Amino acid sequence: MHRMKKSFTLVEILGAVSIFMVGILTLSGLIAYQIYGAKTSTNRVIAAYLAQEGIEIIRNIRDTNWLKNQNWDINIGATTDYRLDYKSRKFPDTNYSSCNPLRFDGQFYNCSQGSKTIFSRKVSVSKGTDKMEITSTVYWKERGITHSFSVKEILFNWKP
Amino acid sequence: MKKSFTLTELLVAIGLTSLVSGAILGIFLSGIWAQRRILATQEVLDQASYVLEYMGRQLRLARKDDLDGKSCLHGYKTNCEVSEGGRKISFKNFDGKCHSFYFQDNKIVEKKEDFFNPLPLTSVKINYLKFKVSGETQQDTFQPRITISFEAETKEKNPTKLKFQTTISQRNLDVVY
Repeated sequence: MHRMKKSFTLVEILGAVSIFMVGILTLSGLIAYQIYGAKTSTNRVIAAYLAQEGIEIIRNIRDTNWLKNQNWDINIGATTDYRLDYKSRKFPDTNYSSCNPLRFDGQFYNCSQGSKTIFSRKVSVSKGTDKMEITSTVYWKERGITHSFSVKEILFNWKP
Repeated sequence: MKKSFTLTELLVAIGLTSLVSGAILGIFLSGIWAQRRILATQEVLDQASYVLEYMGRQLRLARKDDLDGKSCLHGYKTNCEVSEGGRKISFKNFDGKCHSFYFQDNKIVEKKEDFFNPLPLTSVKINYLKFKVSGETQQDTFQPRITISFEAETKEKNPTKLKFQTTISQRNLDVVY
């Protein structure tokens, strides 16, 4: 019998090519995910500071209440609302009809002026005796997926 | 007879090799490109969070001016002062030193009274820096509130511009002295 020189069959070639393709696709997927992750981490940092702003403003309203010798929790509603920005003197800020999403006026993120941003901020306040719990959550959308960043703070009526 | 490659075999082999190495090179290059982008973004994020945390701490702990007989600001017994169209904030820090943050040459810089030169806090390009304060005088019965906003961009050909903002409420109660 002749010793025939073996060549690759079509199946073998298809097998090799598909294994190769799987490798390539995995790698390119990995790189795409890397870029996406970098973008998400960027927005997370921005969201973290916007969320902090929500807490600080509620705290500022409480401190102002003390300075004005009025009830410590006046102007802070025990509710969940989006209407609160860096100028707000009460929560929810009824000067605005809505605040979802936050707008950017060229200098500041706010509720009423400028173009819409991808961020929105939801603030929740729940009250106990001489104590309130504030949760500030910033949401943003990326490629159709909604992400969020949340911070929580408990304020007390410690001033005699 | 000693077998040799036919021209077709050779062409197919070369074609396949260049296809495979092209694909691998492409992945390698886009990996490098992605890494460069991520490092540039990381640099902006690091500096932005540093500058916000640092300014935030100093501004939260700010002291009211003139109480210790030393005057840093124009107003009498004020907590802080914004000037240069919102690009500069001056205050007395927790240490009793006159301290300011401002925008200069696309950087955020700080100046303390015992500094000879202003000190840059950032190296990435800052496009604007804005401060907005309210309740900074003691007569207004509002607790001082400082909003910091700036835009930083990455060191790239097509830079990504990132807008940061946060608001700080001063920790010392602004009681009237």
